[in-house]
Amino acid sequence: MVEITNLYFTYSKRNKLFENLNLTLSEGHIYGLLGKNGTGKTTLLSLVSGLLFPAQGKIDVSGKNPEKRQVDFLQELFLVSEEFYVPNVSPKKYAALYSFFYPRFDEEQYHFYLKEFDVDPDHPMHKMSMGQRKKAYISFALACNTRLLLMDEPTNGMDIPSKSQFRKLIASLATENRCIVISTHQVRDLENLIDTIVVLENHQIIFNQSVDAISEKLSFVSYNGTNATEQFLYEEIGALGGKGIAANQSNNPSRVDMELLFNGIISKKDKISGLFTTNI
Amino acid sequence: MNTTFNFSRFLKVLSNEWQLNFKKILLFWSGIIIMTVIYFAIARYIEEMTPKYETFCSLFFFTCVLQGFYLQFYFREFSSKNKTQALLLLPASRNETFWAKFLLGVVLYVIVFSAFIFIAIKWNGIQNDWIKGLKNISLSEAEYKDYQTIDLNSTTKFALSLVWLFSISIYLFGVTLFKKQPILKTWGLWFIIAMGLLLVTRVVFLLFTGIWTSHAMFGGVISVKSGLRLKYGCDISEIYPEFLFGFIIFICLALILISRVKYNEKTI
Repeated sequence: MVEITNLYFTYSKRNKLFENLNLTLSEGHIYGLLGKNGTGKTTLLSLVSGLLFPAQGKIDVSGKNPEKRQVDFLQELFLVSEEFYVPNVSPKKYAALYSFFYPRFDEEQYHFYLKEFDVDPDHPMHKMSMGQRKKAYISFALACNTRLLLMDEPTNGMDIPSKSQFRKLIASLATENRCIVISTHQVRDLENLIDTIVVLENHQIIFNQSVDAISEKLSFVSYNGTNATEQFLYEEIGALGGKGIAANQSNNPSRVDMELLFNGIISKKDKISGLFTTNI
Repeated sequence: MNTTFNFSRFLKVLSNEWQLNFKKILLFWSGIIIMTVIYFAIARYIEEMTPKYETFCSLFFFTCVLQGFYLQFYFREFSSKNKTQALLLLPASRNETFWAKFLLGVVLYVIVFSAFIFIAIKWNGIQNDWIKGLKNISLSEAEYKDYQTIDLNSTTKFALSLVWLFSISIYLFGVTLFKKQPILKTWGLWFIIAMGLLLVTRVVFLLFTGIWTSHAMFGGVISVKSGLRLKYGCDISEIYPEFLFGFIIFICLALILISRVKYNEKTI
């Protein structure tokens, strides 16, 4: 669905952000786009949605060039950015203003999502808290039923029950013809939700593997005390114990600890990536 | 350039723009109308406060304030990253969103401004008769004639086309200089700029004619006319009546085209 080839992008001549970046995103997946601050997660989503133009390279979204911002391209894309504009209207009025532009918008679904998130459809959005406003906006985004849904830090500002609702709703949306990309720092929020992890670091994609492949190849181990019996590829030691990533020697898939994996990939990239035979 | 244009979608974008901004725009107009009415009421009943001649010319002061409001409006629209992002991601063609924004701002402004000028001309005609009838009011022949120049002739057309040019330039600058610069969002800055333009036209007029006038928009026109008259012995609009008018229209159309192309290249 999204094909990025040899992408170069820079905000200033001195600091390049992406250099020869390649990435393929397919339908039927929920991708977690992870990376440290300033690695370009938001910029990458902006490039895919056509808000920024690449310096070099090509971005193809279902055969369309995002730079052209064609109507049929925009009808199939929704970007939930970290900061967004909502006019001073209620969620109900917001849908009346903008649902016209999305051919697959479902009003029933919209009200269902608002109810699930506990958002009053008649309350003016500018009087809502940041979290409430975000939930209203996400409800609209989900109800648009676009084939490509990009979300930048969607759980920022949400309370704990809302995060859980968010995970539940996103999981229910995963269909064969839809691609969802969620960019976040808060990797724990994505546990049990995403099926592919994409890590952005040093101007490139340094890791792109499905959760199934990760759980087959890697084992995530927690231990109490100071002595671990296993040889870890990456290890974090705390006051009462520690946890680490090791090569999975058994045939049983291991439960993926997203935060540990992310830290492991950032600090021991070669060791961890070396276990995966498929090219990124 | 993307030439897709769907009329019903365009109407929906336009209607959304209007629904979201009408309060702001009505506030601009009512603010100006209230200021003008108060000013004229004071000038009408406290005659020593300002001469009649200045009273009419001060209309253009208020149009400059309105211009300042609009300048600030466009810059707020285009310097906000979130608003720009929402506009660029709206599933409508760039033609549709461009013309919706353009119509709401520039065209509406020109209509209001033109109405303002025509009302002023009509009012001025009435006021002329009224002043003429009042023998006790001292009004020089030159000043009286100056009222007569403001009529629906080529000068007026030229002035109106200048207004259009100015308005379109605002849009062009709004589209191109939208990057995050907080000072551009303050309407006070644009008020100062509008006042600066007013002052410049008055200074130019003073240089050409030796008269310190409050003619804001027409001041520039009259100064150009006076300069040309000095050089050629007659007004260029008398030689080629529609020349300047046509020239300004041409520049306006070119600016619209540039704005449209720049709009395509717009990013956040």
